[in-house]
Amino acid sequence: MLNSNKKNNSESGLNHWLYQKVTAVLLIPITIWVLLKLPKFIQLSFSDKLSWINSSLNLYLIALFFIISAFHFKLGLTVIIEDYIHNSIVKKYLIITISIIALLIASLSLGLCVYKNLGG
Amino acid sequence: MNNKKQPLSPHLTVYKPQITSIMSISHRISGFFQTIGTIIIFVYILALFIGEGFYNYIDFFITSLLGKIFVFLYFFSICYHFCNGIRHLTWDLGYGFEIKNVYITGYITIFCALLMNILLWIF
Repeated sequence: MLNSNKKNNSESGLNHWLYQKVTAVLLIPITIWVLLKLPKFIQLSFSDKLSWINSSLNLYLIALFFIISAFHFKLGLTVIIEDYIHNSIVKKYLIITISIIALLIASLSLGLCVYKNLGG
Repeated sequence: MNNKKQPLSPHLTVYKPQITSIMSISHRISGFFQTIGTIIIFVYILALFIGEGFYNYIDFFITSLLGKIFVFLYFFSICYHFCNGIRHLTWDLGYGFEIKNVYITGYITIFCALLMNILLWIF
């Protein structure tokens, strides 16, 4: 029993590390694009922002940034919560909360791309 | 959850502050800050699809002084986390573990992050 727990722990630890690294590498090119585009985007007016996001390329790339970021921050914040929150119930609910937020951001981003493709 | 046997990261209050430990905790702080920032930017973009009324609420915050400071810190966090993240990836590949190199790459990281942050607002 103890042995199988130990095995699961080390396996999930390895997966966690691997996903963290894979999302980090994927974020390198997409972050460069975000850093080049987003500061200017923020300064646009509502209608200019709307036409910016109506470009398929912009929408897909920003959605991709949100999806990969969501996985990356879910993994990162889980480690931070595990290290600094010592109350196991608070810990559990914080990790669930961050997982739900990450899942919402990823699925809504994907949803926006599908919506766009349907001609919305 | 049995967490007594799981290893923890060293808590920094026990150690004398050094550039290495400061950079390590900064990676976590910038990561945490970016999470909040990314959620807000996500809602900001989502608001474009929801309607101008909802958009204006978030735009009111973003264009306020507090919002401008927040946006500046958000992009600064990304620059730092980006550069230090690459430093972490080179460690994962097995390079740069010698203490001397840890310091050298540390200073390069800080320099690159500052440079990126300046270029970001010029271009």
